[in-house]
Amino acid sequence: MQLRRQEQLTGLLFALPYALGMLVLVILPLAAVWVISGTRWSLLDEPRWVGLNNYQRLFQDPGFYRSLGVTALFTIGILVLNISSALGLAVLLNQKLRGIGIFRTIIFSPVVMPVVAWALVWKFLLQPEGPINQMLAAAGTQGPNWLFEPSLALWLLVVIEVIKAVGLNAVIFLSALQGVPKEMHEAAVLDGTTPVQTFFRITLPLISPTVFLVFIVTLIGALKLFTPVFVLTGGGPAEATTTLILFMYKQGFSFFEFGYASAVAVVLFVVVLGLTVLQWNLRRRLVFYES
Amino acid sequence: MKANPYWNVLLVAFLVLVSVPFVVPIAWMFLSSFKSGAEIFSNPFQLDSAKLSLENFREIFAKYPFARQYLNSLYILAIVIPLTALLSALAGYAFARLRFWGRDVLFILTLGAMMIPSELTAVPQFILFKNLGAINTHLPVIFLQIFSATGALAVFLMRQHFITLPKELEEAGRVDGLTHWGVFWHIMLPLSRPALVTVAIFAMLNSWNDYFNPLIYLNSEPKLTLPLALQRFTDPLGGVFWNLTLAGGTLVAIPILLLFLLAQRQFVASLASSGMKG
Amino acid sequence: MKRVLLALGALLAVGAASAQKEINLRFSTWAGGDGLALLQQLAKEYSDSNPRVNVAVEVTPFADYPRKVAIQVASGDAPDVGWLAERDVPAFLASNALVDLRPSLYADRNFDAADFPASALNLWRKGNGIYGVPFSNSPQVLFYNKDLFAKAGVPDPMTQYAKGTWDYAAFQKAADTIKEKTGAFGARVMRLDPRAWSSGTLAVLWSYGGGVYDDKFKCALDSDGSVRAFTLLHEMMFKSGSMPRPGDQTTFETGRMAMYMDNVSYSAQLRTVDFKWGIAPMPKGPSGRITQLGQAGYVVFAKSKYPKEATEFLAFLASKDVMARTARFFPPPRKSVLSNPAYLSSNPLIPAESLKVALVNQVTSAKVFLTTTNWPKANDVITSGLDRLYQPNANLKAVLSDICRQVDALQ
Repeated sequence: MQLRRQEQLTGLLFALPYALGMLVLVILPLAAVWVISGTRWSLLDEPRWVGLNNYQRLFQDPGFYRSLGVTALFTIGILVLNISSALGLAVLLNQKLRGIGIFRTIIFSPVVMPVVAWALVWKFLLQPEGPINQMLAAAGTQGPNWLFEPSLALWLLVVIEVIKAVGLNAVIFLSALQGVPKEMHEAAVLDGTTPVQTFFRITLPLISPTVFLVFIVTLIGALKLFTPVFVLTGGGPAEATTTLILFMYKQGFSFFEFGYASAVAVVLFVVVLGLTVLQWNLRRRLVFYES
Repeated sequence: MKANPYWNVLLVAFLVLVSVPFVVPIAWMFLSSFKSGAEIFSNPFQLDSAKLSLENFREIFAKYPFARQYLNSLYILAIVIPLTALLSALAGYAFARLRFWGRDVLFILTLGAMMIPSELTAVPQFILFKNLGAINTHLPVIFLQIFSATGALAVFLMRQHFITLPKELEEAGRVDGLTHWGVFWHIMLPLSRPALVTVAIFAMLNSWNDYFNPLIYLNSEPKLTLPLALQRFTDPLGGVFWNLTLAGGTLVAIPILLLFLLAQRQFVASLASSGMKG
Repeated sequence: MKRVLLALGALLAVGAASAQKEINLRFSTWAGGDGLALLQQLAKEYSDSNPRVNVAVEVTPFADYPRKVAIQVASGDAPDVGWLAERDVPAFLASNALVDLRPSLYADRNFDAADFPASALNLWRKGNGIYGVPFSNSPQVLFYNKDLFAKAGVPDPMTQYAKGTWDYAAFQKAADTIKEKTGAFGARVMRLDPRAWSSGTLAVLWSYGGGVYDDKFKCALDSDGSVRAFTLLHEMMFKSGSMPRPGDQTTFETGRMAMYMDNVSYSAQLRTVDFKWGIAPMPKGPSGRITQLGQAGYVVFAKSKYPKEATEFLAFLASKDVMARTARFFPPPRKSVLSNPAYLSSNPLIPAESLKVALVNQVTSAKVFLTTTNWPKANDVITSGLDRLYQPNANLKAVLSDICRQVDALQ
């Protein structure tokens, strides 16, 4: 009994420094946002209470549903492309090779590049008569106006964002791969399995906790991604890249409808929390090592 | 791996090919830092040494408080990284290993905090910091790094890490008469170097690149941090001087990149050797 | 001993002097570089000559200015005096976030309100009040690359203007010829950022008798004048290719663009280019030579704790003397300043004569773009509509009618 009490106390004391700060700086303001979502407020005038009006309006707003769809495609695109290429790159960068550190640094380098510079480069490369289309022209085909083609722009954003961010995930996977004991591979090779089979049957399950972590971090990153999209396409062409967070931002800070934007935020939060709880439960079946 | 020389050649060729989209943007940024505004776009890949100069770097230090802003970002980093690591290790350990009242609720809230975009909670947070008299200081920027999304992510990472450590270690420590604190400090933490390195990397990158909170809380030019400073190289009405922006961007990117180049071997090795499985 | 006492006394005096500064005014701006340095200098001069007041300059990047100020205002931490860009004026007016300067500043004889053309203040009016002072009243001018014109053997815009032949037909012909002879682009009308499409495009629309809105703020983008203007741009983009398509990043400063429409302050970007350039008036259309006046103004925020002192500081900034000094970067609407030879010779990159012809003489026929509080939403609709308009096979009239249907639905 004494021990239980002691554990109670220690647990609380350990968690408290972070938890207090989080409660005051994040959860409390979040509760306030929930209240704000019941008002009509331009930020510049005084808020007026409108009850559930903003939610009613939201659920009738075609722009909201469109941005939900865009967000879903965008997030799935990023998750699939980022995690698969991060794994692939990690395997590549795990090869014993002189100068592999250089390649690791190169793959990591977009992570440290300021977003403004990053967006500028890609706009330049992808412009209608830019370097990429010139290369395509030399190869005999005519490239499209990449960022201004509604059917292309979203996927292009996915690719550009994955190039920017995949280095970090690749390095995390790389470290996990190095933690896989060599004997496992050797045993597998003796059993006559191919390297590909070894990877999927042995390596992947062994690093599944890392895959899970990276999955969560990438998922949240994709849902929250704002600045790169904003500076590259601003949500265009023809709203094809307006994700939920861009939609929210536009309502709040371009149209000065902060109450409405807060309602979007609350819905976004509920959706994401639901997703997290969902895959939190899935994780028990997919990830080893957790008791 | 098979010691086939062709294999290595093939591997290198493939790596070079894969590297292209990763290396082109940053190489372009580095190169552009040495060019005039007009040259950047007219001859983006030109290497004519006669047209390269250090003029941009001279100008950003001579005409703008860039050195001061650089120091701001550095010292904020120096506070944010250790505090994030410490607080997240403590909380992560508690969430993973100790049973206490309110644990699950607090952990769910932490997951929530991880997902909240800072644009969302800006107004109530601002009012809070205003009442503390902390506007136009670095305090809100530091606190929000440690306690909001990045901090929550760190707690989550640490919890996931502690959960993978074998229970027996803890029990052995307890049998030896160590308190919970003793077990944490003497047994668990030393085993957590790789997880702490991961947390430190996230804390470093997110603090170094943080744009929104500094934008909202910092008002005077010498107090700005780097991502904001990069947006301040403009003509009187706000038109961007790209040559200065890219030169500044190079200075922002280089230290982190160098750090990575120097540390990647130790980093990867340290993660591997200590048997971090998650 | 005496020395020590003296030093102590001096210290006390310094302490007292700073203690007397009981009023701290905050002045918010997005100015950069030399423009910011000048504003800081002005703030210091004002603080030095007003013992009770200290002015601190606060900076925010242009793109983020409205959201930062909005958050400050919402949190009760609004700056006292600030800049406000044209695009944000309707929202701030509608929310009563600004102080009416009509009874104070505009009634002040020293300020001399008559020095401002009445049309320059339209953007800032609401009811009977006037809520700001435009400090920058910059008409879009035409930047042109002299080398490209010479290379293509086309008479340059200034020459054609002097002969009275500088209209949009001549503009199109010049651009197409340059494209054909040199391979460089003939002209860029839109900015790189598609959301800023109105800078440049508006002048063309107006000169053709079209526009975004008619007098009653009904959408006029599908009027005959507008359709003709867009037809010109569309032809240049997709028939002759003399105008870059949206997404193209070719800028004037690369030397691969013969003409470009922008504010005079853009000249700061041209310090290091290695070609010869000049500025000229915009071409003339069927409805005249109407260029767009881009405005930014000084305002006092309604939530300021010291509205009286803030207005006094604004009066200082907007005074004839100070506006004559800031005119170097921001041409003001003050007639007395613009007609002053000192202003005309203030830009080392542009000869006085060019500035007079291309800028000062155009101000009278130039227009400010007046919008409603719905403008941000309308702009959103139009921006994404233009993505469909600037397609090779677009049916202009149909797309524009569709845009107008959506814009009018917002009202």
